[in-house]
Amino acid sequence: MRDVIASDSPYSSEEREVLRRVAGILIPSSDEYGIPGADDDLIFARILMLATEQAESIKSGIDALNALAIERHDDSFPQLNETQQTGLLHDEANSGFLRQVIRCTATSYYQDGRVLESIDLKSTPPFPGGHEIEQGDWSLLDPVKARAPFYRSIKAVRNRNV
Amino acid sequence: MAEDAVDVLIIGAGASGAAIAWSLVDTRMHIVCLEQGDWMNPSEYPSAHMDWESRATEAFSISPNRRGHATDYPINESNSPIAVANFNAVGGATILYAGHFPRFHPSDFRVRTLDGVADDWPIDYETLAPYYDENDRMMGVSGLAGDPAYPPKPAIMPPLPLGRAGTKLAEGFNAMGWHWWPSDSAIASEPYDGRDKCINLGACTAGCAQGAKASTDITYWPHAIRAGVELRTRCRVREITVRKDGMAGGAIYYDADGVEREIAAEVVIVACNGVGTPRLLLNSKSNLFPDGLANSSGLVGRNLMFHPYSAIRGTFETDLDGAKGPGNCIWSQEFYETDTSRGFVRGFTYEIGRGRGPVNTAVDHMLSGKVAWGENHHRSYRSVVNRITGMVGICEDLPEEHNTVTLDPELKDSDGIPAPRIDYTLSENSRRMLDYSIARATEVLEAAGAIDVQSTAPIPHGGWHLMGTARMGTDPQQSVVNEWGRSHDVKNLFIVDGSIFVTSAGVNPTRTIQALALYVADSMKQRLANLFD
Ligand SMILES: Cc1cc2nc3c(=O)[nH]c(=O)nc-3n(C[C@H](O)[C@H](O)[C@H](O)COP(=O)(O)OP(=O)(O)OC[C@H]3O[C@@H](n4cnc5c(N)ncnc54)[C@H](O)[C@@H]3O)c2cc1C
Repeated sequence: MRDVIASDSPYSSEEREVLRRVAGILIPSSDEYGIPGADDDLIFARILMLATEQAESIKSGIDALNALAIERHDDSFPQLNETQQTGLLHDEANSGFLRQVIRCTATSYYQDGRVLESIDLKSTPPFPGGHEIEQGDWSLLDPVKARAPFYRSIKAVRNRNV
Repeated sequence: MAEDAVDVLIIGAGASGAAIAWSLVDTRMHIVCLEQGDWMNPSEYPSAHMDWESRATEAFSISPNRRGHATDYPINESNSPIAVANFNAVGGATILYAGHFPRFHPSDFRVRTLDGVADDWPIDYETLAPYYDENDRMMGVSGLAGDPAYPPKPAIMPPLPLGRAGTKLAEGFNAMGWHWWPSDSAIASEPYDGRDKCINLGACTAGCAQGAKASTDITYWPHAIRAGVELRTRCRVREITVRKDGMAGGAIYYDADGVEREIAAEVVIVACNGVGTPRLLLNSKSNLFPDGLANSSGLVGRNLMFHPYSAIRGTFETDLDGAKGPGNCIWSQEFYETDTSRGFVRGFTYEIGRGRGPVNTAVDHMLSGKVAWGENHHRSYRSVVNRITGMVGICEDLPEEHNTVTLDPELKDSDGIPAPRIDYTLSENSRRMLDYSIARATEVLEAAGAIDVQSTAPIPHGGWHLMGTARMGTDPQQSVVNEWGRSHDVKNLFIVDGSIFVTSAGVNPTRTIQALALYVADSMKQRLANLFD
């Protein structure tokens, strides 16, 4: 899968490395919930697909992030340690670049069956199986049923139409 | 010279085109419907795929400009705070609609008389009541009889479940002492007319793969086609032609290959919706009608009404329904009728949704900073996902002539037909109503236990109700069609979609659009001998 993505992707392997690292920091794996991070192979492949539409601006965001890494820490983003990387992303939190990457990362991540199962959804599409919904407490309607009709009467009003 | 000639030509196969086609079939006339879109294939609907939330914003986006399908036409909406939402296919926008299916109230037809604003309709609730009933049977409506906000009306199927979200908000409404009721929904809660019941897919507004939602491709159309109506897809009408005697002659259209064709008809019925219809009439210029067809009043394309929407959501401390279940649940019409002490005239309906999809929840909350990214992400996300519910406030939009659909001087569709342009301003009355709806919704959400309440108004992409742009009335100078849908200017031309609305009411329009289409059909059938007098 990686090869296919590599040949189709507008991103160079260096750019993909940065993106993958950013995705993994935004949504890391969790032992507690038994789920992968957004840098998982499958999830990241979808992130790359989603990031195709805005490739131009994401690529310049990656350049800017690398430039910032060199300016602050004398090394490109992938070479930094996690604390340094996370610190840089916090400084970039309101940038258009990070917002675009958050959008692609969250979109891909929360359509993964393993992740959906961990939040009480199915690991398959909604159709055909569907979902169960409880009826809920219909007795709550009793006071409303007891209410007299309150729609406005139009009896005895003369029409003034166009 | 037209290649083929028919008795009745219907343009547009959406909510209204389907209803009138079915109703006219018993006249045994030769009826052809031209539709620019395709038949839908339910297995392609997003909910049949893992990435349903992505698909719902791409190929099944509610925005034609975003979708950009060959079957769509672009819309210049840069001068409107509300963007148009539609779908172009057999079934029209009912493919994507939520299936909220309220009726108008008797008072909605008497706005001028009761509140001194806008105009009264030339017909009333009683006139439409039998057609509402007929349409309810054809579409299949779930609901509960006895709503004190309405005159008595039948419920065909049991209501959709309250679920946890509905229960939570019902508690809130009860705590405030405010009205609520299970929503009337065009969604089958049990098997109905060959359709299966709702299985809570949770993606109604991206097409119902189960076929439980009453889109007209699976309700009216199969019946109409079986009875003899011919429906031609991928036929985009450029203009309605005019005969020398000033009557409509038929239409010129482009087929799927872009080939120009002509069809002659004795009667032409336009059902292209509140934007598509004025666009088509304005594109139908001729020597006899230099300002567009049926436009001697100058009102074609004016008085566009949308229904400004507020959206108010609360986050709760316990799990609700999340992405499961139809968006339809309960509604409240506590603030429906005019009370001028609120600072505005007319009113609104609250429609309570259930929850949000996992992607939407993540994206919105991560971007707003309410859900953390990084090591706290998973805990932070779990404190909101499946815990959000809320409502929309559907505010009555009053007709104003300066809110218009015109032809864009540059923008064209893929066949080179001039595209529509929207110019729309939110009125002061709407602004106040939106603010009021947010304030009251915040109260009810907090009464129900919400710990965080967020709101938006108007919903920027919420132009899904398209009304008023060829309105009905008895005065030819003040309206485009008469009280039974016939053009004042062209006596064999009828309009049956939301453009003929005089006012918008504070509810979703489709049940009324279809009841009107059935009423127009019946009016035609009763006058067949002197239809053009
Ligand atoms: C996301 C969404 C949610 C909605 N939710 C609700 C809801 O819950 N309740 C409700 O009441 N309403 C809802 N609506 C609105 C509802 O779908 C419309 O009110 C209804 O479909 C309008 O019916 P119509 O016949 O006027 O037009 P449409 O259903 O829009 O049909 C018009 C048809 O005409 C065709 N057409 C247009 N121009 C041409 C041409 N030149 N040549 C050939 N064909 C043409 C179009 O392709 C289209 O199929 C919603 C709409 C959307 C988009």
